[in-house]
Amino acid sequence: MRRDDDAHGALVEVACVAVLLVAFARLLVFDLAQWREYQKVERRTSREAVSGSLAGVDAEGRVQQPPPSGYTLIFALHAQRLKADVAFWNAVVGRIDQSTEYPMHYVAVCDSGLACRDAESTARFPVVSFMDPLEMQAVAKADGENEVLLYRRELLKGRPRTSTEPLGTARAVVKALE
Amino acid sequence: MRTTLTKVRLIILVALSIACCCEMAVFALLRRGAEVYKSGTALAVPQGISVSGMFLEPRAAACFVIRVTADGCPYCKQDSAHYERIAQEAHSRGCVVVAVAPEAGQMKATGSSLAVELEYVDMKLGRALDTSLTPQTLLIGPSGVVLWQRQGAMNGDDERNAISAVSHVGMAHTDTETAPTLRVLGPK
Repeated sequence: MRRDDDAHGALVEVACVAVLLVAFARLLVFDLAQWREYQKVERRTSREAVSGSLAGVDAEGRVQQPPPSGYTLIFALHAQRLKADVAFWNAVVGRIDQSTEYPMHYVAVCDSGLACRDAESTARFPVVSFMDPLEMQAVAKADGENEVLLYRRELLKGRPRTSTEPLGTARAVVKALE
Repeated sequence: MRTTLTKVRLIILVALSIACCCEMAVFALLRRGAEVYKSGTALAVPQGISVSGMFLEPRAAACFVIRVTADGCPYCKQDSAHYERIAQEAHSRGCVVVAVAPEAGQMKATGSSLAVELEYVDMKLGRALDTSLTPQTLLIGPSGVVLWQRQGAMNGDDERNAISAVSHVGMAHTDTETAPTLRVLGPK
């Protein structure tokens, strides 16, 4: 009688443990799926602004909107090396305009709000201080990766890489136009 | 026979304990990952152009409440009462409340006296702010450090936690002037 009770108890115990193990296995599958989702979110550093408002506001409060036709190149200006950056991008803009017949528009985005105000007199392109958050995030991300944003109308066409020389940067932009 | 059964039990118990630990670790990791900004992350002191075209100057404040929202966002409407109470509390304690939409044109001017509705932001804030989720409610300390955050619609507990966090920073900076500095930008 006692042996029967022991056997019965052991069976119940094994059944309970089996149920627990199945539950844990199910949870493990769920965890792995969640983990994969989490990794996907972690890899996505920001939403890509593949289209959107390219309007910006300059240091005098004027809204600068690139014309809807042609191409628009958006790049960052760094307040800490403003003169060098303006000279660099003036040279890049000159080279691009010589190398392509596409109508090109340029927008420089200051990395420190109003701090690039002095560049407006010498730059061959409009300088904006503020953009909408999504576009600003895309510009900042591209800048961090040594890239610029090239839009055709309002759609992102490419992210050409910048180089230390204006000629190399202009070539990369012209190549992205093709 | 009995010894074998005991060993099997022991192995199963150990396996279950290890599985429990793994489960807790995974939940802890997922919970940490639910926050977009890592604790102690330095965001930027907000500056930009409001929906009505005024320039919000960057300035010292007891704290900043940043609300990422949009007119067409249903969850933003769902927790708007909680947000308004947090904004009211923050405003009364010398904090600057800023509402920002991911894209220009996604937020109409409400004429709110509590919050500055920013349409355009500078690069520092643009770089730091992840606008892919709405609503988001962030409490930023005077130096730009994230003190409290909630992604998604808030509930009563979130409101209490946010107000408690606001009261801590607000009490330490009661001497700060309360109104955000807005001005019209013009030629230098």
